[in-house]
Amino acid sequence: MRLDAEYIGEDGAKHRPVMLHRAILGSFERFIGILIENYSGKLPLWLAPRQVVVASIVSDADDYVRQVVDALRAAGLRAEADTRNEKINYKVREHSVGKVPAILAIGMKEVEAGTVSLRRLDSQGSRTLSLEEVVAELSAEATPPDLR
Amino acid sequence: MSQISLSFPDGNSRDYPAGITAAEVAESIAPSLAKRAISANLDGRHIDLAWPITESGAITINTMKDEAQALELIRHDFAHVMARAVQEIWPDVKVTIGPVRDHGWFYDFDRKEPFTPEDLGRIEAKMKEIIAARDPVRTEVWDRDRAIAHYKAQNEPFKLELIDRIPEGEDLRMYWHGDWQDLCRGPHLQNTGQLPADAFRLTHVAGAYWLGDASRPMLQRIYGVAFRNKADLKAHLTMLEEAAKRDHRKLGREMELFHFQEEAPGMVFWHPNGWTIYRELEAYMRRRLTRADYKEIKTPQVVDRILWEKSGHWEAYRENMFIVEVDEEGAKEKRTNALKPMNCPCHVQVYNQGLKSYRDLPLRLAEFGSCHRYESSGSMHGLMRVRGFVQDDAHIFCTEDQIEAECASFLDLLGSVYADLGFEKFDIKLSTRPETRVARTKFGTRRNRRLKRRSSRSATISRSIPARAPSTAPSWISS
Repeated sequence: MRLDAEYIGEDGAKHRPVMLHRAILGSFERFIGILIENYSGKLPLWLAPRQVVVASIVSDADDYVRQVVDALRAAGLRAEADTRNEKINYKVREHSVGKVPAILAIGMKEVEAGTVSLRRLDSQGSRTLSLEEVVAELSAEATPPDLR
Repeated sequence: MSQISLSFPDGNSRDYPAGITAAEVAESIAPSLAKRAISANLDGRHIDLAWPITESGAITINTMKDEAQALELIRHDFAHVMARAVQEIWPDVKVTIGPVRDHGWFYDFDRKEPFTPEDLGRIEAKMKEIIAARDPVRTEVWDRDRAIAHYKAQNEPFKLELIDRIPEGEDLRMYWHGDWQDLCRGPHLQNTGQLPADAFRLTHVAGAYWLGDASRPMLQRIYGVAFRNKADLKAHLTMLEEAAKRDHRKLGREMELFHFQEEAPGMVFWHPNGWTIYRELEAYMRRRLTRADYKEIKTPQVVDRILWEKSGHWEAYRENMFIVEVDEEGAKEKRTNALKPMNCPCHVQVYNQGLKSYRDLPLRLAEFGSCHRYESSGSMHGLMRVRGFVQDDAHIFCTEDQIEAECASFLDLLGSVYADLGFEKFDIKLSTRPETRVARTKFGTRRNRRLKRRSSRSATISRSIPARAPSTAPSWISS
């Protein structure tokens, strides 16, 4: 070591410490590149930048969509509303390209029952859950692995 | 004539007259082997069936079943057949070199007009004609003068330059695929009909400087891939399609994660989505480091050359550093700084503040350190190879006796982080000291041995972890 690091040893004399150089990811940039390719963009929920999109099927559901988004955000999830005047299939397709792991489709049936219809990226069909259930399920998954 | 002794993989050996060819050796073992033989290995060296063998050694006869040798020959012969096809279609095109590479080969040509996708189709069709003709492959050793005279007559300036670069006294070997001649080390197959006409594909064209030198002519490099059979080719092309779908640059656009632009080559413009991943990963790493008793610090990015001279970076690493000159108030000369290419010297500065005792060790100083390194523009590749990046860097200051325990706990941390991030299985490579290095420490063999023992132990542990995760794990290079 050229930079003269020292410590006082048990013997009272000066010693040169060993310097171990280490990195785990290497660089954040490259490691994120590797993560994206390894997961084909379908990152686990805790790493996914957009975790949940709440999409309206009809405009009458917009208020409830916002309520659902608020509940998800209050639980710490990265949630956004999609209340554009587009067909639900179009919205689902677009967010699938964006690799959003969870889409909640909200129509009048969900508004009346106070439920949500959950579609996961790359899985066919959807499941109907109560708002509390979906918040619990997604926030558990959004918890980083070291905090589980 | 003198006798030589050749030993076979089964342990037997036989005497032969010196100068016998591998083809004749195969024939002496069994005519059926001679029929299937494509090349031989003599003391590990891959040789042509037609080359005379003049010294004793261990010989293995290769057939198409020997994958590594078969693929090397197939791809190498395809390079020649492609070059022949190009010159048959466009006689004025100049040939250069055409080596085997991953999954295939390339060949660099000098031609004014660019090769179009239609041209590649024409070349492929011509190649198939050459394969169907089953033209014999033959070879001769030429002396230098004859080779130079030949290429002067053919007006092939690149070949002349290649001959110039071959050391005096080394054999110049010529190969013919039919009547088409090329200077080549070999080995090769016996006729063009041995090439699988349905298991190759010309994939793309790219520019390449002659001899990789930016001051030399820009050539056109045609890439091809080839396998032993159609199924292998198809599997490879499917794999490429899948890889293209996974390409982080494509996904980066679709997911709106980041972009690059000309004004800052190799520096990432993170968009909100990409930066969210970054921050989430950074927060995770910070928690892991805190729990592993690291102390996080932050050190300057712009540092006077004086420190880089002291650390040795200025001498060994200068061409990779970004230099920043500053007019200091009242100073006669500009002050020369460098953007830090690594964090180590700065971490030593932090360590050196205040007297340290053995009770302070091990001291683990961590930094998410923003570094800049000048990389050539050709080597940059999305996020994978950049000029500006942030390392999850740390330096552990410890006593010699603490090295082993520190390495062990680091490898535990590494394995646990990788598992959390989806990489359950990974390989560890132990690298020894590079030729160009900055540190002046005498790192004894005893310590090297200990490190080796430690990492092999860990590699065993990592292999025993069942692989649930996707397969492309990064490999960790120790320093």
